[in-house]
Amino acid sequence: MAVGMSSGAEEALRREVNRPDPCTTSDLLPERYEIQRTADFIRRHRLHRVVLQFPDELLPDAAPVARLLREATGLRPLILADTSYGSCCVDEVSAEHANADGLVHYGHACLSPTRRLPVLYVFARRKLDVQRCVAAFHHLYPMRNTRVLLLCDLKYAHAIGTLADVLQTEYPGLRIAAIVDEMGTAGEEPERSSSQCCIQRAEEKEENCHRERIASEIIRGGRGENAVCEDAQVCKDESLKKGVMEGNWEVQGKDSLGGWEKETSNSACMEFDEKQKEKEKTVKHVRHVDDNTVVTWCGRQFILESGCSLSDYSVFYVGPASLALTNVMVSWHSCAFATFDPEGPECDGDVGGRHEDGVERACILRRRRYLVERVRDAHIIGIILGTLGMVGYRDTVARMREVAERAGKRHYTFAVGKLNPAKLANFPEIDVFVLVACPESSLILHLSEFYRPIVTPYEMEVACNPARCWLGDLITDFRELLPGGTKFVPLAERESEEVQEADVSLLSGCVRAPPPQPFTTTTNSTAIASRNQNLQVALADDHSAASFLVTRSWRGLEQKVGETPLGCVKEGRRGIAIGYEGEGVERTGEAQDQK
Amino acid sequence: MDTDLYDEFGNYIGPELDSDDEDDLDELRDVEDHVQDEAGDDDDEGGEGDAEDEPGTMEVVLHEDKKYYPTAEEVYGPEVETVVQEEDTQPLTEPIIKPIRRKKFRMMEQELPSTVYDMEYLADLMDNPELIRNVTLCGHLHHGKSSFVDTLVEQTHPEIRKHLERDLRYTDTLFTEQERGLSIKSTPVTLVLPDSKGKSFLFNVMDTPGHVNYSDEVTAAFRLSDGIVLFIDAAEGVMLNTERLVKHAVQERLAITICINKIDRLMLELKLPPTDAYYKLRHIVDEVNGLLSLYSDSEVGMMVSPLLGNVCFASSQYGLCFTLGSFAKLYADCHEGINFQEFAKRLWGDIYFNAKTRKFSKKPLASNSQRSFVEFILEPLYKIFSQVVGDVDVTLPATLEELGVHLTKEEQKINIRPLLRLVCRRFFGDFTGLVDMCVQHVPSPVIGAQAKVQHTYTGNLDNALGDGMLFCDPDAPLMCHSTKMYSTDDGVQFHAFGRVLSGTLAAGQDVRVLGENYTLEDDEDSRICTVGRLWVSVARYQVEVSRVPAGNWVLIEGVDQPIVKTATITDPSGSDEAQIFRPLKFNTASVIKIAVEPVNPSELPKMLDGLRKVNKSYPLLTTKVEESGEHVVLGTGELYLDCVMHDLRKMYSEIDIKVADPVVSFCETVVETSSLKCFAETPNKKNKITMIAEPLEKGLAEDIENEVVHITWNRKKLGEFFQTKYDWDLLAARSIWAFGPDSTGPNILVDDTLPSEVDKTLLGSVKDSIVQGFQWGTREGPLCDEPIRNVKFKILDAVIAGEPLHRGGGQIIPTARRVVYSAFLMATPRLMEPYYFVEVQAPADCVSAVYTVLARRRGHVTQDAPIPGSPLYTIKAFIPAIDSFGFETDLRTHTQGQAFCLSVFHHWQIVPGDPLDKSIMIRPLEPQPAPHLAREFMVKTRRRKGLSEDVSINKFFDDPMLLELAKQDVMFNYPI
Repeated sequence: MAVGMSSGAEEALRREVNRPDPCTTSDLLPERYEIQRTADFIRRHRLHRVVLQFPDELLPDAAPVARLLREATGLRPLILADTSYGSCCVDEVSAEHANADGLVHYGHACLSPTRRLPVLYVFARRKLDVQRCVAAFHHLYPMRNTRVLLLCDLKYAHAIGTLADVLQTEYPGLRIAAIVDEMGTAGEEPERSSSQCCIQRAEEKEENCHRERIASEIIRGGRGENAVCEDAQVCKDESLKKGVMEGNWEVQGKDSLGGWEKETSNSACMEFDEKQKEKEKTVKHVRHVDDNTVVTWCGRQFILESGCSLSDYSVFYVGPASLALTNVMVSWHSCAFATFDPEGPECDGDVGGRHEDGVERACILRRRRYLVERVRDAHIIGIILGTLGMVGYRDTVARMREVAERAGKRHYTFAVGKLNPAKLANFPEIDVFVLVACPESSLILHLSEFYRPIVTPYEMEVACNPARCWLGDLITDFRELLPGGTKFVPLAERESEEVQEADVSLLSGCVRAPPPQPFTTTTNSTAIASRNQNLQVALADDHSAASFLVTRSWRGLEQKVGETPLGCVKEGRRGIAIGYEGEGVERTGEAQDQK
Repeated sequence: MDTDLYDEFGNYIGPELDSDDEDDLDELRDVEDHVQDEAGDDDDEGGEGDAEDEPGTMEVVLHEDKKYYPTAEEVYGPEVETVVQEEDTQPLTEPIIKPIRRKKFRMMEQELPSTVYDMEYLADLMDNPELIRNVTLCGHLHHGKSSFVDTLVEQTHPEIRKHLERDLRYTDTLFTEQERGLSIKSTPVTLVLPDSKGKSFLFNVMDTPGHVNYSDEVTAAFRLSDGIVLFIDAAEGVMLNTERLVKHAVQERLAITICINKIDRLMLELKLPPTDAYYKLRHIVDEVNGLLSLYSDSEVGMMVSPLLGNVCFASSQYGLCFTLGSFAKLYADCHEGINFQEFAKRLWGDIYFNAKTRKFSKKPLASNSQRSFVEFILEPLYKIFSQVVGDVDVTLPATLEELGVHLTKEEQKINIRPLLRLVCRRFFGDFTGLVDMCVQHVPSPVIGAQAKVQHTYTGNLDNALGDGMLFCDPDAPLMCHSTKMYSTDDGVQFHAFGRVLSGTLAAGQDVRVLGENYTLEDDEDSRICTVGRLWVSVARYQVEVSRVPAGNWVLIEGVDQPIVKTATITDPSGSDEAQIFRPLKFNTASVIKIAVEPVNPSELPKMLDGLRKVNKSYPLLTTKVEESGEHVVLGTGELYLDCVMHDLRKMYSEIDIKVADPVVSFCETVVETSSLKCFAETPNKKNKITMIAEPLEKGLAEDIENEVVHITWNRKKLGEFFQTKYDWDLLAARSIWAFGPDSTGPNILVDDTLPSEVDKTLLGSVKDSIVQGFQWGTREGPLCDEPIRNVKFKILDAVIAGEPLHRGGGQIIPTARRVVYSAFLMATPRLMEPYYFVEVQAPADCVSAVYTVLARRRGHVTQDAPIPGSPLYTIKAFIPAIDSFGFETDLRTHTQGQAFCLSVFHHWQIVPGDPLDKSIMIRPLEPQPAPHLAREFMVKTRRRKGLSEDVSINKFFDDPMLLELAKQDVMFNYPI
């Protein structure tokens, strides 16, 4: 996977992606990839150019799916593979390069809100053996009054309602984390539609907005900078919103699941008020509505029993070990976890579920402590853009810059696409990288392969914002850190220069240099400098960036003056690399189709 | 009162009272009151308002609004918080308002004690560097350093006297030191002491701990001193730490004098005849001389002998201390016409006195004639001791009369020990012998400056600054070297302790504090601070001074913030050429590791603050965050860490702290040359690096670590070193690229490519990147992320892309690291663990038990010999540090407390077994057989660090490399 920036094209072709799932047989395709719903989505939004974003492991199915969709809608969809960042994120930028007006995202998703295009998520559902799962649940939670929170991997989300129905009767304390970042489009489906989409088109909002069940769901920005499934306050009309939301929560709160089915299989669309955009860039992961605590996390939402906090719950996760699971485990570090992998080996007598002992989680959290110390010791910070679509990323980058400046660290911003060690090792002078990315991809676990550590914005803040007290937790969603987020902490006032305490590094045992004073240019120096033999006046001191650059071997493209033959000036291509003008986008599309 | 309702004792026995009824009654009554009040008010209207607290005149006040008591605010004024609680939330034992607790961890005098000299005089002496001696008292554990200082303090402080039968331990100021009965910190004492001629000298004496765990304290003290007095127990002789201290003092180029202490033990405890006592003393002197000649490179000078005057004899318990000279002077004082200096020269060695001719001769007159030392020194001593002990009433008065010692009637009745002490004190007087010895043999700060500064200063001495230091000039620019930090009584602040080498340090002055990382090129590690007060420290009290000139020791307030371990304090401006004094170089290493964590996670910042403070307080302590996120504390031994944890919990953070089981640091190494050339291509396939790994020559790793060889030397010098000392060929010796993981790291990267095969200029252009990859790799080895040690990596071949674009750091660095790893893994990797050297003293019947205990802990004995002139045996052994936890307790249990041991880090040794052997099953909670140990250590370390159970090798190998491996069938154990 790891390829540097300067790798050749043939390398990309020869590269082996992670073992792909075997192709789905054609009769399963429509169901698994929800062709019908996708077609509805396309028609509803009157899309003309649809991009289908496939993760590497589902790529073998891409062509058949595209064909089926073409048959269903008459459109010729484009297939988007090799996502710029994590394959869980919607790659809006690439889609826009292809002039697409809508996107269908396949496979696992982090459900991070994006900004521009209407997006439909198709999770590529898998069958869930509900009986086995229930058995595992019984086995893991023999006490009927346990407070359990049911979470599931997205590919099993379609079956979670069935599962909930069975368990809800036995376990009154059970809470279901519903997937809210989407609106069910398949209200008539017998089973709960999981892979619902959330869409926003301004034209449609009228017909949808007054549906009585606005649902606990979704809302995905049709236009403008928005998203925000999290905050239920997305309705245009304040009162409507309130009424709807409260009504909705009431239902959920009272008979937790009675109304659930109706609601989830529902679609709601709304448009945003411009004024609310600001608010909605950030997230409130925990809200209080009518005494109930509503927790929203990574596109899932649930209500806690009144008077309880998240730490009172144990979490039952249906799905295999994955980054998503790790992410939720470290985010809710006070909860006990149990997992059930439906595809795990089935042993006799063993139902398959197991309690996570938290050792791994504790290790991960402890390792972050080390990273925080690395940040504290760092002089130069590299801020990496790990997303170009997620809401609030610009603000986060801006905040990271501010934090770095306050702490007296220099910073540079990088956009390098997918990360790999070779790319980042090109910048050996950076001490620590801060990755601004979706919650799932910002947690890089195999850090030892990278020359310099990569941290999350939260760790950056912990290290550099003295006002933030760190209790060993980890916040992977950067939106929580922004003003308005639940975990927002304003930057500490600059200490007066007199009382700066000497800080001892816990890594090297040396005193850390105090943050340098804000840089002041001393241009009016009258010192006389002597000219050297090359008639250069020694200007730069030893530490200047210029002198550093002189020592670097790579100084840009070589000119090779005199070596290259002369030629007439010709007009070159115009545009950007992904589609030059005159090259024709259609051709690309055809190429994709043929493939 | 209805008497029927009460018994004769006045107890109520009537029908049960219903309290509700009563309330109702009260209420009724209240209502009535209200009515009456109102009526009364009505009546009083217009009249004088009789009570201020009467509510408003005409209002109807409901019962619940009625106020019976004033509120707290009314009584106490605003800003008083009233807390009303329904039930007790606080136990009775806990006071509601807690008294302010004053933290105090040290014993300090409340005010300046009276001294035999004037404090002004002491301060005046500070201006005469010729009259100053900076001396460290060091020695093995319990060889009597602290009690020797006690006697010095008693001589100069008339009010400070030790209690009967209990040591004063004046320099053990910490409560923990008193409780443990051993010194933990080195403590400075400044005294004015007269020599035998009555001339006063200012003595800066540092009392150091004798336990090997605290060797770091001794190192810090050595740095500030010009000479040492090495204390040796006359009965025990040269012990483990004595030997190490001799070596260390020689390395630090200090003047060495010895004091053979506890000579009373020879008489009272071992009951040796005088001749044997002489042999025993001579044996000690010979042993020290043996060590001196072993450790000192130069032939000249290094020698101790009573004849030279650098050996004194003492018994601090009984307050006697003499050199040959001072004893001879005793004779000279009562016998006219004796040249005591000449006499002293004849008091040691095989010299006999012929009473008839009144001449000294080299040959014994008769077979039973005594050596002069025995005749003139030991026998009189024996006489005094035996008469005080055995014959107080009959012969003692006559003897004392003869000696000119007068005892009052009361004094004659006191117990033997105090009496003996009194007699010795009266007879021998002040410790002028010691003073003479130090004055003669320890250079004054002026004379010692040359050696001191040349040895410790990193900068150039050919300038005004250098001159100032070399001549100990109080008017030169300020240079002060601080090596220790003492925390204040309450553990909140620190005072830096140092020595002014040139210039004068004044209270309230602005100074520049240079840290250990300061260089002229990188001046980040320097701060401007304002000096607070200055003191001369005398263990339990401090004499405040306004200025301290060159040559003195000083305790400085206000500069502690930027100092971690050592610092250089200099003038804030002007002295731009000032460089730092070398950081301390210790003679031991911190290999024991404990991980700490606050019980309550929210107290982490408090703990970190505490960690920073203990880090300042202990010179050799390392506190850091490991990559696994654990906060680890590295110390020299169990006792050391125990003290650290005490300070951390009680003094500096006052929180509950969890401590993980102690572990040790490991290293990773190889034992063979890589079985094949390992190569890796960069991700862009444009570069290819080939390396092999092989073990370093024996001793080379230590030489690099001890900075015998520097990577910064020029090629020629570096090459010569390796050619001559380690027999490298010229080509290899000249093409050493780097040491790793840092400039003193015990691994070497060598460019072994041939100019005919490899484009050297291209290779040179990526040298930095390869070195970075090499250092990155050696910092965390592939086995369990522990540093690599003792490995030489050879670059055999390199294909480097011609275009600079294709050989950027991003391509080369990670690839170089991968090659380092694959070469390492192909060269039979092994783990290394630290080994302790243990010295056990035990009576003969316990020796076998010691063997048993050692054997159970993988230890092995190297030497086992009786201590001459005593019933004890010394057993020297090696034991793996990881198995040494609890060894001391175990040993004592098995020998009924008769054996005593000290252990100190000695070397790194390979752990038996192949760490990568997957066939080994590690069963939990079972001791592993020896060949499984490496595997066990590796797996458990990986688990602790949160790494995957096994080393996944394919991360480090390219596919073609793997094919090659498969071809050669060398992958037996390795998981792919």
